[in-house]
Amino acid sequence: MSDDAREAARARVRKFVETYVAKGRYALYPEEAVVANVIEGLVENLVRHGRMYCPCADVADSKTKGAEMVCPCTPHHADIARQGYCDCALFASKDFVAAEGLVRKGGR
Amino acid sequence: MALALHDPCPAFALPGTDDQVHDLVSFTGKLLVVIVSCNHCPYVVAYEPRMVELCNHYQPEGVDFVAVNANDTARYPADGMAQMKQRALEREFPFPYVRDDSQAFVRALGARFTPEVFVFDAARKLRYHGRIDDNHRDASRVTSHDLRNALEALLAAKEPPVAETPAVGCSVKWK
Repeated sequence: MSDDAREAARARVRKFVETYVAKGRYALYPEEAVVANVIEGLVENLVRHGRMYCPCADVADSKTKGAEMVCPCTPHHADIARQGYCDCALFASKDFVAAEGLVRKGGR
Repeated sequence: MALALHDPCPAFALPGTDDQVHDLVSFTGKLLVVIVSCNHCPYVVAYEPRMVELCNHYQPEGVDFVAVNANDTARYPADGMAQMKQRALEREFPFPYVRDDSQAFVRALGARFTPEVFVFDAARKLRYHGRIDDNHRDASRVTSHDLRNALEALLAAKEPPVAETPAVGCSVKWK
């Protein structure tokens, strides 16, 4: 895979993430390094496997599940409802992001 | 909320894949490395050889390692004890691999990801927290050996050059 193709995949993933967040239901997980890593994981899976499989799941297993584990994956709504962020820590609820902001302002 | 630097290690007594219960006082090394881990996470799978290598390198220098799996086995059966035993055997883990079914210890650490590392000094105060290094995909392309750097510094009675780094990986699967 050429650098150009990888860069094109990266642009596609970033565009998807921006568009999804712009819809307004969820925000990005509030740690830039974590988000950047997940995006690179999605880029890697898009380049190697042709789809944006969740980088926090085994790709071979995900391939047996159709689109279920392609970002935005089927379980991400339930994951965010339960713990505030999706299992890959890409998307998070706005309440979680606000709470994290308060924690960090508090010095942690 | 994660432990802050210099906070004490929470007490624990957890069953391991070796059928022994491992508690905090059973670790007597100069340093204790707690790695919040699991079976199914691709990040962990990528890091396991490095976890083994780090343990084999630093254990003779008095550094104890323990890996803790707290993932909800109802949603992730692959993280159950039987599967943990299989993984420990396959990968020849030189460290205890323990199961935190109640999730109380991992919650007390404030961990969110697998793998996520907590290094405690001889007084069992937190001295390093975060990632193993900066490239889970390719060990040959690591540019910052954060855990190794912290261990080297602490063994030399110095401060870790970087004491907190962002842990990246899969989220801990809470019940």
